[in-house]
Amino acid sequence: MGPVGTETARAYSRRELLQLTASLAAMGITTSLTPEAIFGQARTDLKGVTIDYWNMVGVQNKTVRRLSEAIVTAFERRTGATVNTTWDSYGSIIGPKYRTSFKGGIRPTVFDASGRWTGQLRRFLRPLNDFMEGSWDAESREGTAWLIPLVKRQNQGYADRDQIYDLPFGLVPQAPVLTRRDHWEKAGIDWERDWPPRDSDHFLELLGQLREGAGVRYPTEVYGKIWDAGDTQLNGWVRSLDIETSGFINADWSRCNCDSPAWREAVQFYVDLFRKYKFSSPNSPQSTDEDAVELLIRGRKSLIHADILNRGTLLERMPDELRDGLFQWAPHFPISGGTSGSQTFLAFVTFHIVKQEGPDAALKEAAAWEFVKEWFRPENMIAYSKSAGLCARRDLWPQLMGSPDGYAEAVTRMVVNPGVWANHPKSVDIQYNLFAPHLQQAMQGAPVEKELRNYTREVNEALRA
Amino acid sequence: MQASEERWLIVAFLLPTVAFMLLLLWYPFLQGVWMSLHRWPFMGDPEWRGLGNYTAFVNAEYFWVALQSTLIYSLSTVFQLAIALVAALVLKQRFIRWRTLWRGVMLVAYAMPPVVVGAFWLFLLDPGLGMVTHYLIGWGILEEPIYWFSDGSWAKWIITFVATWTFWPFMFLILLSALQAIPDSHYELAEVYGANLWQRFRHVTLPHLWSALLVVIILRLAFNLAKIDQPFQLTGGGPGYETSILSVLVYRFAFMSGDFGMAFTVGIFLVVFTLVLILPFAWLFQRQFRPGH
Repeated sequence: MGPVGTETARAYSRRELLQLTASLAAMGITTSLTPEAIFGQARTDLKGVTIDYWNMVGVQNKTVRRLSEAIVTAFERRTGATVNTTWDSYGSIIGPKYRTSFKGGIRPTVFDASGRWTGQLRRFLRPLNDFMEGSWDAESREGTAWLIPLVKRQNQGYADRDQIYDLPFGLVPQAPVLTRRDHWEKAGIDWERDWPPRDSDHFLELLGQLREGAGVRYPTEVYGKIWDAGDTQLNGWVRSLDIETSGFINADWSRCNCDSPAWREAVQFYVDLFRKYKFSSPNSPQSTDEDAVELLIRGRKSLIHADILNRGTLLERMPDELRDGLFQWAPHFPISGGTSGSQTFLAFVTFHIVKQEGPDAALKEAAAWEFVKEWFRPENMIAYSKSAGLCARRDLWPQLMGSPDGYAEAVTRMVVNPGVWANHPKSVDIQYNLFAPHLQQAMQGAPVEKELRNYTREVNEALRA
Repeated sequence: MQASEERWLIVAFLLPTVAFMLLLLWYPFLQGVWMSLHRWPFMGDPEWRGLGNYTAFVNAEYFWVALQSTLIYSLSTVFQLAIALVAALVLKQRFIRWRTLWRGVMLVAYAMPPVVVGAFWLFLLDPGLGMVTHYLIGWGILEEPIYWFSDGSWAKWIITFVATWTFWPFMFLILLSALQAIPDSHYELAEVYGANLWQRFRHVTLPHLWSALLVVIILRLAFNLAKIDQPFQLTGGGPGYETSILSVLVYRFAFMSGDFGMAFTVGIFLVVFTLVLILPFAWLFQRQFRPGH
């Protein structure tokens, strides 16, 4: 049984299904929801089994939400199982909802989240190794095998780090650059020569030209809002200077890294973009990349960093312009002088199966695994990639290339020796709740070094506790 | 015998209230005090810290920031009182037409849930889309938008302003009721004796309004200082800790960081802070009933 307020996925008629398929196909997004698959014989018989699915990824945009609905429906039709879907948001797991619900005994059978936020729930989760090794098609297993060492690195502070509790199905390399090509033309910048930005000095030069030539007062944005402050472009800049101290906490999870010279330099540059160069709007201490994408769409931004999950918004709002190549993506770039060879932190969109109790526990867990597998079908992986990022299956990446906005080329180039954020039980606190106020203080004029020192002390205290 | 029966009846009537107070007020409060003496994670075992949480809070860099923003936010009670008093006095005047209509209009803000009012002001004050910025720039008052919620020096006043706008009708309602209970004959007599407007207010209105004034001040101080939803909705407690009034800090510690020990520590501070502000008014209220007053 789902919690109060659960919105149950409704049964679709054949007509509705065909309409849904057509609307997704019109956006170039196909799914497993093909009439043949839906109305053909179910491959796995899970008739009478009900699973509760808490969906978070659907909050990103309407396309991903529709895709999620389509996959749920296809799974129900294929297996006969019932999926009670609760549409949730990132704030629920970063905030109190998930931990209070889990502790209070209200838990789903399966949920999606981001691997770095689930350490707090680890004791409720079921390891997936046996499913992955014993009951998964070879293509999916091999296509995602490259990620497993990264997942283990993300969980390296746990004694059972070899157990996989978080199975990535989507990748969010943080954070590619997104621009409007018409602003470049207006500013008279040579696209062939100057795209993409090479490093922070080049970035500053481009921003200056865009401000002067395209008349955009604040051509970029740095983000101070709690969810984006330590989660978008900043960490990549730290990593470009020093891989070793680029995470919030060190390799054995014993202390905070953020008083390192790399952090000081990167945060100073981040703050300078706002305070010194004034390339970022006065709203910066409270702004988000979603806000910036909205302003880019309206022509009030020129060159921003944006989570690839925002591509769905562009698909929804500006499909023609996207097709015409007005919007262009490029990989993140290093701080000038940063020669580490990596400027990316890779966030995972992950599936998790919750340990079940009672006589039908094994059946429910098996049904949940079947549901997870549904998402790894090639057509669903590709559909997901087109609307919300990059799929986990590397074998499918070649099929994503060639889009006019170049998103797949940009984000796949970023996945080179990426950093991963630790999935410490207090990672939500460390990465968001404790960090954002200090960054915001620095954006208000407090010395960067002092704020990082105080933040480091707070994290060290939290780690000791 | 009859007196004894009455005593038992009184005890029987009191019992539910006493049980309610013990179980739902005093027990949780004392449990909170106990928890504030521990490191009390949401998941995991508590650990005794003595006064460690208190010293950590007092020494935290955000302590004075939070205290200052709480003090500013509590000023919304004064602003609410000023608006409510003026509105009630104006509506008491005989020459005002359509008084019922005006009373209804004035209650609109209070009739809406605070988060709805918050969303409304978030939109109105939005630097890009909001009407306030649009008109202020259009009339030449501002040259460029003010980022009300991103600038700490503005943000704390803005949450205070929105609280004032949302909750002043509560005071207005009570003060208007008290004003309407004053017989017209008192004013007529004062006029006969040549009292001017100020003298009528000072010697007729104010003494009759005194109890109601103290009650609304006490209630609204307590209600305002316990507000979490609207200030959190407007600014999330930021930028930095600039709008993290004590109640928002309690929420941040309890539900965002899962640190219940620290949350209750801040909660105890909030209780003390509230009592310090309320006690003088409570004393004035009690004093009225003493012989000779």
